[in-house]
Amino acid sequence: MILGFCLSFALALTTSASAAEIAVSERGHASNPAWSPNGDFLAFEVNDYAGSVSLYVVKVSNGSPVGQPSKASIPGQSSSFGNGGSVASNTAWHPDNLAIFEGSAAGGSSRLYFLSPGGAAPAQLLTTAQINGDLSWPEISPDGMKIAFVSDTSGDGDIYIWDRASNAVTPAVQSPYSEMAPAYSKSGRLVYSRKNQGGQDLFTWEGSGKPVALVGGNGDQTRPIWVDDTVVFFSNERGEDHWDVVSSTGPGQKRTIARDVRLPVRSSPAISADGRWVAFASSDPELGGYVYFVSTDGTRSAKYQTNLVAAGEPAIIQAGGRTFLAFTALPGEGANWRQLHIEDVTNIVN
Amino acid sequence: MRSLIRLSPIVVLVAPAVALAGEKEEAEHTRLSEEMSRLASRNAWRGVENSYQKMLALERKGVVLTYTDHFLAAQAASALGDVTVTHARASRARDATSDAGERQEAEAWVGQIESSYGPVALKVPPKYAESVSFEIATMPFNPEHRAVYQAAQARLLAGESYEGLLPLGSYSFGTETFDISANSDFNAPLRVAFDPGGSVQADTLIAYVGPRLDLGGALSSAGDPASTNEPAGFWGAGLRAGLGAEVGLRGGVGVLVEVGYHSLASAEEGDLAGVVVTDTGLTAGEALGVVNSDTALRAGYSWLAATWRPVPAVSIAAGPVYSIGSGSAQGTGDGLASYDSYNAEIRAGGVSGGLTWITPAAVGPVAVGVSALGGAQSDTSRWYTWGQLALTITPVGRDG
Repeated sequence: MILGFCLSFALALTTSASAAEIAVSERGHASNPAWSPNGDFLAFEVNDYAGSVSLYVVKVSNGSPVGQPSKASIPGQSSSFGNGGSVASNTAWHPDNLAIFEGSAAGGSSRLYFLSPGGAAPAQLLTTAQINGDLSWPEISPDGMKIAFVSDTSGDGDIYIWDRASNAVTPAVQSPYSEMAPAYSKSGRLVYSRKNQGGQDLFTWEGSGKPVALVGGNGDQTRPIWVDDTVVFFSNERGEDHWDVVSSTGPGQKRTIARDVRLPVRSSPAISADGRWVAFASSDPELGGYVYFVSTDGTRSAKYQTNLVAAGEPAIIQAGGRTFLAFTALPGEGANWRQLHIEDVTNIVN
Repeated sequence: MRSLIRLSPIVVLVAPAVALAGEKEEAEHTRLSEEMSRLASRNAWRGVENSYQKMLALERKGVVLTYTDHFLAAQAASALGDVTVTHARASRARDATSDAGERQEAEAWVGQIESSYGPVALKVPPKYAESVSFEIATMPFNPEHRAVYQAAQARLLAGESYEGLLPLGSYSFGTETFDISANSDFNAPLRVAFDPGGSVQADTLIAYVGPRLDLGGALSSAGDPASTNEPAGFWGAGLRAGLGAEVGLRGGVGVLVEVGYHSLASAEEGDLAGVVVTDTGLTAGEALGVVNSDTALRAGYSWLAATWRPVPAVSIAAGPVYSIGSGSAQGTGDGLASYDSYNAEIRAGGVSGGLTWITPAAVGPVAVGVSALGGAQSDTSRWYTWGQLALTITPVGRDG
C-alpha cells in the first residue's frame, strides 16, 4: 500500500495525543464533522445505519467541548407517517454562524433547514413555493449571500441558487444528468460533480454561461473543494476501492496528493482554512490509527496518532491561533460505534 | 300604578324576544365554534378565518368569544401568513382564559412572536408614493420572516403606509435606517415617516399643505325676496373661481381658505320686462321706458372650510362663506307700476361645501381633482343658492 503523501516528504512529523471525546447517548456512528467558520461550534451526525441520521451541534472552546451536544430536531421529525427515520445531515456553515443542512422527517421530502446554535429549533430555509423537490448539498458563497444547492424537482439533480438579497431561487446548472456537491471558490465560481453513465466528472461554472468540463476519467471524480484556484477532490479512477485525493489546476489537469484514503461519508477533502493542508485517513486498516496531513503543494506531510481505531472523517479549523482537528474513530477493536474527537494539531501542521 | 299595568303587556311581549335573540346568538356561536374546530382539524384555515369573522360580528352583539376561538383564529392567521394578526389574536387568547395551561400556551406563542418581530408604523406621504425605497439589511433565513418583510415591502413600494410587525433586523426607509430589536414595546410601535430627502422623522402634526384652486361653471339662483319692492328671483349660469390654501393634519382632517370670484349672468329680463301688456304690443319695459340692464351678479367671496379625507381619493369640505358684490335686475313684486331697473350692492353670508374626487394625477406636491360644490347664502332679504362643477387643484396627501 502506497500513500500519496509518501511522494514528496520534506518533513514528516508524528504526534500522538489523547483527543477530547464528544459522546452522545444516541446509538450510531459519528460522522461528517463540520466546523463553524470561527471554530466556536462543531456540527456532526450520528447515523444508526437503520435509516435515521441525527445532527448534533456542540460548542467548542479552545479545542474542548462546552456542555453537551444539542440535537437538531427538525419539525415533524416524530411524525408517524412513513416507515423510515428522520435525516438531518450534510451541514454547511454560513458566515453568520448558522448551520444549513439537509433534513427530512420520516417519510418526508429532503429540504434545507437552518439552525442557529443555542437558538430556536431548525426551520426550513426555502418554501416549496420557491423550489420544489428534494433539496440537498447546500453550499454557501463566501460572502454568505448565495446558497447553492441541488434539487431534483426537474427529475434529475440540478443546481439552483438562492439569492439572499432578493429571496429569489434561480436555476444555475441544469442538464439531463445529476449534478451534485457544488462548491464555491472565493471569487464565486462553482465546481461540482456531474454523474453520467460513466461515473462522476467535475465541471466548473462561472456564474453565467455554460459549464466547463474540468476533469473526467474512469470512476468518479467527486466532492470537489477549492483551494484558491485549485480544485481538490476525491477520485477512484484507479479502481472502485481505491480513493485518492487529487488536485486540478485547470481542465484536464490532475495531480494525486494522497492515495488510498478512507472516503468520508459525505464530506469533501478536509482542507485547513489557510489552504495549506489537506487531512485524511487511510483505507488501510493497519494505518487506521492515524490521521494524515499533506500540504496541498505536496511538499510536506505529517501524521497524528490517535491511539484509536479506524480513524476517519477529518475536519480542520484554525481558531484563536490554533489548529484543531475533528475526526471520528472507534474507541477500540470490536467497538460498535465511532465517536467524535477533537485534537489540537497546531504543532503538527504549523 | 296604572301606567305600569298598561306597560306590563309590552314588557311581557318584549322580554322573551330579547332572551330569544341572545340564545340565537349563543347558539350560532356554538355552531361556529364547532365548525371552526372541524375546519382547523383539516387545516382549512381560510374556512377558520371566515368562521372567526362571523364570530367577531357576534361579539359585537355581546357574545363572549373563548380562548379556543381566538387561538384557532390565531393559527389561521399564522397559516395565512399574517403575523401581525396572529400576534393580536394570540394575545386575545391569552387574555381570554384563566386556565393556566392555556394561558401559558398562548403566552409562549406571543413571546415567540415578540422575540422575532417588532411593531412599526411606517408612513408614506402620497407625494412620495412613487419614490419609496425600503430594504432590510440582511434577508432573514426564516421563510416566514422573509414573507412578512416582503409583504410589508410590497405595500410600502405601492405607496401605502404599513402598520404591523417586521422581523428583527436593520432597515433602510428612504435615507434613514432603523433597527427592530427583540422584545420591543408592542404598545409603542416605532413610527417613521418616509422622506426621500433623508429627514425621516417622527410623525408631525401637519400631514400636507399646499395651494387650493377651484375653477368651473356654476348655476346660481337668487331667490324671491322677502319684500315686494325688490326685484323678483332670477337664476343663471356663471363662473366661480377660487384660489387659496389647504392644510391637512394627521388623521385626514384639515382646513382650507379660499377667496374668489362668482358671477351669474341671466337671460331673464325681469319677471314683467318681456310681457306684452299694452295694446300697442309693447312690453312692460318698453312701455315704461325702462332701459334693461343685465340680470347679473358679480361678487367676490371668501370661504373657510373644514376638510376631511377619509380615503386618499376623496376630500369633503364644508364651512362658512361670505360674498360681497353687486347685482342688477329688473322688476319688482309690486307689478307693472313699479317696474324698474335695479342695481344694488349685495353682502351675503352662508355655508358652502362639497365633495372632491382627487385623481391619481399629480404634479409635484399638488393633485388634480374634480369637485361638486354648492352653497346657500343670504343677505337677509333673499337666499342665493348655487352649485358648481369644478376643476380642483389640491395638495397631495391624506394623513401624512
